[in-house]
Amino acid sequence: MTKTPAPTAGHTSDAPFIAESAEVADAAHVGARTRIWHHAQVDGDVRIGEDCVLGKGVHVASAAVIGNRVKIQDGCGVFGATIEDGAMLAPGVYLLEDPAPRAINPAGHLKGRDDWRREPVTIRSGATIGANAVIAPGVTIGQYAMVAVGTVVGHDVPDHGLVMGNPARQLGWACRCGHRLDDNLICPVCGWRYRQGSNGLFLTA
Amino acid sequence: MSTHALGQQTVAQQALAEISGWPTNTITASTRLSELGLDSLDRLTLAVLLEERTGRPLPDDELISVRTLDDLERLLRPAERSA
Repeated sequence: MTKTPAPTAGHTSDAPFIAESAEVADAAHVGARTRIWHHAQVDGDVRIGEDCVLGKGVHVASAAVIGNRVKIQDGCGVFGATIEDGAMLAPGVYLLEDPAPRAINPAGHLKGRDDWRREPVTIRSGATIGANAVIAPGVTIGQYAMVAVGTVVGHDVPDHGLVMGNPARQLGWACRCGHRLDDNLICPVCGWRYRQGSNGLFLTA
Repeated sequence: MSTHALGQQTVAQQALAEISGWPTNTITASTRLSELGLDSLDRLTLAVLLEERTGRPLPDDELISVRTLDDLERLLRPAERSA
């Protein structure tokens, strides 16, 4: 049912796990203990860190770089994005990178592999992108930001920003634990306090 | 504030009552949106409702600082004057 790549000597238990039906290019870098599940596809120029999980049917392409402890759930499309440590993509999220998508060039010929401009998305550490959200090319999602289900994000989201809707609107702030902060920027669940900084919120001592 | 004194419902007060389910007369100028149990989705609904009814866009950076009905009224006041 599944296969495990040849382990590095002395690090048998650290070998990544790749389901048999997944297609991981030989040139792709997959970090220790990362699990890649059924029918996922990882292209050759992709780098994936340690302890990540790629769910069923995930496609990671176009030189995407994924950090450690990243969770990408079923059916996501990651095109060229940088995803920092501890970020999460819920099922069906798409991170896009072509700001002017066309099948053909102005002369009418089918566009080729290098026939377009890359403007990839950046997902900062700890951020969560809700199910079926779409992130437009060039957008940066701040640290520990929370993007609600089905949101279409066309502009940068600040650290800890909570956004939802189409187009996305910021309706509040999210704690590291994932809950919405109250009016005083205090988490009602874990009690952590935040302050406004130059790019969103930061945790106070 | 003056509309409250006259016992009339403001656009914001009415919208808050519709979304929260609280009676309009229990929502005063100092009532906090969080007291009404509004979550983030409710706040989005509120923003869209007020924009539709006033015809004035409510910028996210201003909306996010709204805590009370009074804050909301202040945000909407220029639109009410120009209407």
